[in-house]
Amino acid sequence: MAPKVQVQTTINNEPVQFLCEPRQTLLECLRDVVGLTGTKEGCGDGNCGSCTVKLGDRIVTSCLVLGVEAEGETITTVEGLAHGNTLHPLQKAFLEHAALQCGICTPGFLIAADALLQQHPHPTEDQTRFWLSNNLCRCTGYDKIIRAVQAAAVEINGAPQ
Amino acid sequence: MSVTTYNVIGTRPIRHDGADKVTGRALYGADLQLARMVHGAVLRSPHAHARILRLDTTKAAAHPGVFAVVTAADFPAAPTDKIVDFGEGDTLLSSLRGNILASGKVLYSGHAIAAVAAVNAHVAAEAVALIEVDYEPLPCVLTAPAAMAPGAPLLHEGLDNGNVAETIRHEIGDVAAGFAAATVIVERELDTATVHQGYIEPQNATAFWSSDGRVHIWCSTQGSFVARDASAAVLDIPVSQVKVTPMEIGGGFGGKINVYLEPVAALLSKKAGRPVKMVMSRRDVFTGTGPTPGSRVRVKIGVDAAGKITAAQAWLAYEAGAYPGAMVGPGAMTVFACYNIENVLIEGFDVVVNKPSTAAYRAPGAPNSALATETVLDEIAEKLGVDPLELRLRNAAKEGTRRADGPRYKRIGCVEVIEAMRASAHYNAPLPGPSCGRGVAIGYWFNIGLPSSATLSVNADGTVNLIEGSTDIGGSRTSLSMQAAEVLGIRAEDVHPTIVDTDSVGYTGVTGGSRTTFATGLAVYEAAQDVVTQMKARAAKLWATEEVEFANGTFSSGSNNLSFAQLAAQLGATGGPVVGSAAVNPRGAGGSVAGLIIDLKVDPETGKTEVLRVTSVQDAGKAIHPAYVEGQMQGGTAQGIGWALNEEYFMDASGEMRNGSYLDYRMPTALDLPMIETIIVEVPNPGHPFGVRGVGEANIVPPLPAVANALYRAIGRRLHSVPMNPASILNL
Amino acid sequence: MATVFIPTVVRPRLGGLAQLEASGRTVGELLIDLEARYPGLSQFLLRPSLAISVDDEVTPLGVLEPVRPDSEVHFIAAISGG
Repeated sequence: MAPKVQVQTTINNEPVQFLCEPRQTLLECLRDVVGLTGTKEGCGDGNCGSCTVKLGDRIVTSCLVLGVEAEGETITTVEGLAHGNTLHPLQKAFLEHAALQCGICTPGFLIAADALLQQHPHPTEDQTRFWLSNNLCRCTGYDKIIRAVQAAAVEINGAPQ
Repeated sequence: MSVTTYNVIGTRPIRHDGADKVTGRALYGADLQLARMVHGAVLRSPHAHARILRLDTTKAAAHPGVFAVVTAADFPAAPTDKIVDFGEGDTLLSSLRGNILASGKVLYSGHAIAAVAAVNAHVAAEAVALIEVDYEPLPCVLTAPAAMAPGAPLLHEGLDNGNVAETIRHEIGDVAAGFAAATVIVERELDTATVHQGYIEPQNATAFWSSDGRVHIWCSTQGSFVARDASAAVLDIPVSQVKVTPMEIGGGFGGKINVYLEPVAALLSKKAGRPVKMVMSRRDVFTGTGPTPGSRVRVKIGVDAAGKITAAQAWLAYEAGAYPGAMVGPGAMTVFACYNIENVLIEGFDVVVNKPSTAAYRAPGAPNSALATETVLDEIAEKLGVDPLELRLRNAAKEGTRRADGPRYKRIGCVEVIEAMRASAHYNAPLPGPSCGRGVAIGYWFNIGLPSSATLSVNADGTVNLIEGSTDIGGSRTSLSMQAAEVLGIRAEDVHPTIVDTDSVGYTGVTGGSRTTFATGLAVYEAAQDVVTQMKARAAKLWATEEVEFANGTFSSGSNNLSFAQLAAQLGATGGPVVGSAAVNPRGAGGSVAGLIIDLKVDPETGKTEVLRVTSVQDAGKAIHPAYVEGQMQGGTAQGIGWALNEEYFMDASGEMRNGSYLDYRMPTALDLPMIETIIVEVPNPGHPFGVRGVGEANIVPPLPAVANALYRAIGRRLHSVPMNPASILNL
Repeated sequence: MATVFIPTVVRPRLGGLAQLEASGRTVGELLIDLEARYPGLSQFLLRPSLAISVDDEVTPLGVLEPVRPDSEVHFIAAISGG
């Protein structure tokens, strides 16, 4: 076991320090070291999007990022989307549109969709599908997920002009 | 109940576990953290077929940070021919154990051989690499036809017939006479590749073998009681010594009914004296769990000049994988299940091959056989110049139609589904443009009953707590709460459901087989009726009367009346708590017919298929929560489309899976599908008070043939093997 | 007399008979009746892999299921699902 490295970072607007081996991924650190198990592992090689988190100003598959790369960075996970007990409009929309069945892919979709709506306030269906194409869902066939994201876009940014 | 307008049934409340699932609070199996917990990893065979000559775990056991190592030698001694019965066929204990940890021989690449528990997953993986195994590779066989050929390498001694574990036959009438009376006969043979259920959450299990002898298992499972019973059988301990706590589950589709890690984690825990957590890697999920059979299916159908089917014949060879038990039985029962045919002959073969031991996948066996039937009928319709839906309508199964395996249908919605397809906006819309094709198909799944239990406790504020044991893969705890709420005249939000462990509720069968809303729903319904009966007695005490009525959530007698909540507030004063319970094992599950209309466009240069429009039609009997019924239809449709166009286990000649990752095992992404329109047909099932038919499975049956039929119209050529990917479309 | 339908793979043992009449109040009694006339038949009908259907419904009671004089009894594959 290699000596552990101390990492200082910001997660969901809070300063966090943790120790990790250099070989541990950010996903593993979030889940097993920091205790934020909301971000999920589906494949371990960046192909399912379940582990999507916001790192700095972009979204990443945290299974392909090392824990030590979090040093000095700002990270948002699914646990940071709600404001206290008030759900984020995307979270509300996913519930209202029944956009989850087993829910394992939901955290990854929420983070990815949040990033989408920050870049494209009124995404078309095609833009939404393209942006979310790295998030696999096996239960829903994506229909209700796309509808939920489009509804949240209207709630957050108003109707498209 | 004869009421057909409902207060809660048919509405769309927010699911009870919703807030937890969208905030990351919900705990799935891999999220579990226990004090002193260590981590397990599995050594898997690289060979598809080999004798194990030497297995040496000494170096692994000595690796720093390792707590325990187990192999098949750690199973307690038990007779090799002992049979275990989980209610759907008998399995040899030796087969069950053999798939969990190999002994003597490995039968597929990915077959588990040994496992290690260590301080963390990284050290466990290091230790696995230190296990020494000497193999004697043997020739392998990878398809059913190859395994059935004379001289094929044999996987097991003493099966029925070489690699054929079982032969099935159903015959009614006289097919020779039936074909003689036909004016058009079409016979086709189609192959399907092995595909995986593809659930995003890998298998996981944490086990703790306590000093008091009880084993506590936390796992991702479709059935905590089946997991308990299977683990107890493998470990040769009484079921009362095993407690299974089901965690939230990230998809199953039939693939999380069997146990793989649970007994291994338990054995490791026994040796280590600590809880052991095991989580499969994605590659291990592909190579170490049960995909659905690849198959070869031949179907021959004859029709007369009026389009009436005079005879139908099917030959089905399904790959079971390493151990017997391919779902060829259900495939044989469903192959002609949508039609009224007097002369039928069906032969089916359960064939072992050197691939992972197959498991159920959503209507197991049915998509493979429907592929053949529904494409043959499509050809016949074209030859006769008859609309494909019209041809189906002329032959549709109805109440009283006899299936080839014997029983007659009770009320069934086949005609209604076909008519809904025919009347749909999609079917009547023009094709979008050139290089496009539209295909249709229908399919059937039985749906099952099996046991379920439920308990309802009334709270003083007029809400109720629902205790049930059906693990929730798709919103079922809410559909169940809605059924309780409807009976009690309260809101869905006033029911608080909890899914509990095997110590805390009566025996409950798997969440699968499209049974949960039906069977657990019936248990919940009867528990609610029990509550009503008890509360009527309380009201009778309050009003000093014998006759109390209950309707629309109100208890009344003469001029006295109390709402459910008002009476609930007085339970303490009238005798104490009210707890209702029920345990059911119902007959009367209603089968579900599903249909699909799909428009495809094919790029003639690249062979890439674009899915332009999809409409899924299904008989739900009664949709308790329409959004979750739609969700099942959309999900099964998406899986079927992926199966038809892209998914397959790409095995090399040595039997190794070369595409064991989500990059190359190509499931549909959001970019690959359009919105999926749904049409819910409701032909009530007389066997359920609300008319419920299970809906989880039948929707995956029509996509394979509907896609095949659409592709034919788009490219002018019929493909005879699935997946129908660009290479096969371009005929490379 | 209730009608017991013989699974196709078992018919050769009865010279091709596809259905038999039998008397009894339960499926179990029907099988006892048949066993007396066709010794050894029951072992091919009572298997863990087969479910018992009476009047077109799979019964959870197995051989304990009551039958009526005009009942149909089938032995079909015990299926589950996924």
